[in-house]
Amino acid sequence: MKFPALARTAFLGLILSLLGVVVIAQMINIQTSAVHRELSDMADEKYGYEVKTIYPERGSIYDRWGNLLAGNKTVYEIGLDMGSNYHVNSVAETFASVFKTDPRAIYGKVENARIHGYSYVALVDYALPEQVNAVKKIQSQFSSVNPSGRERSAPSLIGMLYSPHMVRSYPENSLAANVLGFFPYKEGSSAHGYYGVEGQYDDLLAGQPIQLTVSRNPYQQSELPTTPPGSDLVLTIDREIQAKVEQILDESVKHNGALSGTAIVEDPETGEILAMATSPRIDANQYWTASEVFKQPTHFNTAVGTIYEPGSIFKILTMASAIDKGIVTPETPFLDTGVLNVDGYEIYNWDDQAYGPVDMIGCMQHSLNVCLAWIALQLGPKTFDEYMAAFHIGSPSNIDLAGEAYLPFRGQGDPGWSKSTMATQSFGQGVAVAPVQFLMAASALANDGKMMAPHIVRSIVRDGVQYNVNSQVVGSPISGKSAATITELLATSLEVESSKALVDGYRLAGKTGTAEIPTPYGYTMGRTNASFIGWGPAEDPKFIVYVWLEQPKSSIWGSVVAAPLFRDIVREVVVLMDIPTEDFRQKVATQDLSKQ
Amino acid sequence: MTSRIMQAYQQAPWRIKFRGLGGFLTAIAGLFLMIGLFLSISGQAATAGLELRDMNDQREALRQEIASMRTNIADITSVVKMHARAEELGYKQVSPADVTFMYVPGYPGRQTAVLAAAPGDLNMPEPVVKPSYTESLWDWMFHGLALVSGTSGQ
Repeated sequence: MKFPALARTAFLGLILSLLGVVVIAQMINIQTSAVHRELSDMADEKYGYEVKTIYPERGSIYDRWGNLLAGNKTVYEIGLDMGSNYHVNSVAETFASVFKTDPRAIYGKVENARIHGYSYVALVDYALPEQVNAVKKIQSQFSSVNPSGRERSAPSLIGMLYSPHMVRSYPENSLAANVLGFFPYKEGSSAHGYYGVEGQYDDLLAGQPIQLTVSRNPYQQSELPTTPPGSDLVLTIDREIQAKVEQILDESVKHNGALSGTAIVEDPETGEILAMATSPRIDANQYWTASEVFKQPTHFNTAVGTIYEPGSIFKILTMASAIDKGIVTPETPFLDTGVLNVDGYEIYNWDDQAYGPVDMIGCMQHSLNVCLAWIALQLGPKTFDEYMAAFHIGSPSNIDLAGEAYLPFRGQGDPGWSKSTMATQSFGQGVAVAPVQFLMAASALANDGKMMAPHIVRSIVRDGVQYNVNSQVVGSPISGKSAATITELLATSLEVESSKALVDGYRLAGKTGTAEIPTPYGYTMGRTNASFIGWGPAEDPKFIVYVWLEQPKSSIWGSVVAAPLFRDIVREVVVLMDIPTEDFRQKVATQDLSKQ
Repeated sequence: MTSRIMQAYQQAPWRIKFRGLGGFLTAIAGLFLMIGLFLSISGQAATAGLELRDMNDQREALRQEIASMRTNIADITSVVKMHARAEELGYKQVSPADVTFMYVPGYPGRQTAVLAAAPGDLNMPEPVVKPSYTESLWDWMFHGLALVSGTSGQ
């Protein structure tokens, strides 16, 4: 039997059609059967998506003029694809030459990865772009001779993988490190800022990480949402003033053999900190050296983290309180006998001398403990404590820096209090403050009696909008008239004393302080804290400067070591702040140069 | 004419079969055309998806590069390096005693950093990408028709 040609063709068509139907049926089966769907779901779950956590770029920190103090930079992790034709000898030798590492360490890492069957091994992290370029250059040279790496006798760097990531960077290195704090980037995603601005504003700087489930299916790709970076901060710090103050402070600490040094420059009208220097300090790019530099954590920023008995600089608050209360005027006479008995406790002057008849200017000029204790007694415990509370003594200043320390003030009614406690507090013994707290209190004397909140952040930049931080009045412990009187008294006192704190061309008010250091066995002999606080120009203060040298060896006296430090800082500050000399200002006022 | 065609088919029945086969092959060709078109569009969509993934990665890399360059600029303009450069160029640190002050009427002094707009000062920029690039084909057609018929926004 013979099929006609058309029938054969039809038969072949039928067979092929059936085959097609079978294929389609199987396709439908694969798409719809429960077993296949389960396998498909499992594959999707395991390989179809990846969970990505996108960490926003950490916010930058700028000084008041927009100079970057803390930013971010790219570094690289360099690793090896263990599935490639890698040459361990070439890798080890290259890394030894570029990174100065022990080649045996590289051998060990690669060998360990091989034994455990890892597909990738990280060899070096935090490599700088220059180092990566050096490795790539060598890789390129090897590649021209041995492109695939199959030639085992020729060197090759095949299989190298470079993964960029960001780390915190401080381009000014140690400048304002005590203010900035640090971000320990080597701790990875769990890292948080420590100390200073990095610690205080960690949440704002860090931003909000986003977790996304991203499909690997190319048909399901979409644009990843933009992660808003962390907020940027503009500080009140002036980079130039900070650098100059640090330089002067470092020299002073070294020259005087002090354990540490602290200097703060503030605008008393706004409470803005223009410079806050401490010595020693770290390079924030090498934050891991902090534990070697600072034996106690509070010393990271002594301006806020360390409390100490301020000594005679405290007398300005006692005198200001008495003037404000109307107990004394600058001309009030006082007969100094060199000793004052308070409830059986005898108080002496710093040099155990009697100065005879003096006025209040003389009391401050000679820094007479007996005089100030007498003033405190005239004020009485209740009033004295009220003024101390008004000056926020014993309370934190609440400056926006992490790690502020404070010691509550011991007033009437507190355990262990007696009248002699108040008498010694009047000249700065038996009371402890952090430098920034005393600065805040003293700023009232330099700002018409208004005490401004010290702050370090000037603006916060978030989502393209700059929010400025307003200056805040914390309180008015004394009147404007009293502030002017105490300023005049202190300025005269410095002039009469011919203090080493004086600066040619500028009238300054201030007070020196030498505080013996308390121990469980009483006050130490020969070890002191030397301080100076002053402001100027006296008739319209534009700056207030606080300096503290811890245990200076060249001299124990504040007038010898702290006053010159204050002077050196003020000499530079007046230039950097464009504050003209008194002569020039008077000339402008009298000749009215502004109309020329 | 019609009767002549009918007659021709009756005299040669293979023509009917050929006509059936032709129809079948046309259907097959149409099917393959559709499959080809589908594969082509799928391929383009997959390529676009992969390009999008690459562009996301590129955007991240650029973001890192910009931040890094900003830090590098800050590094080379840091206080220490600027002072060193100034000294190399022959400048000297002025002594406070040598400073001469000059009154400049109207000069407000150096202004602090303004890195972004103040709250309330924001002028929202026009979107860069036109809606026709982001909306679906259906939305585009619907909006177009609405625009033509003048019913848009009613």
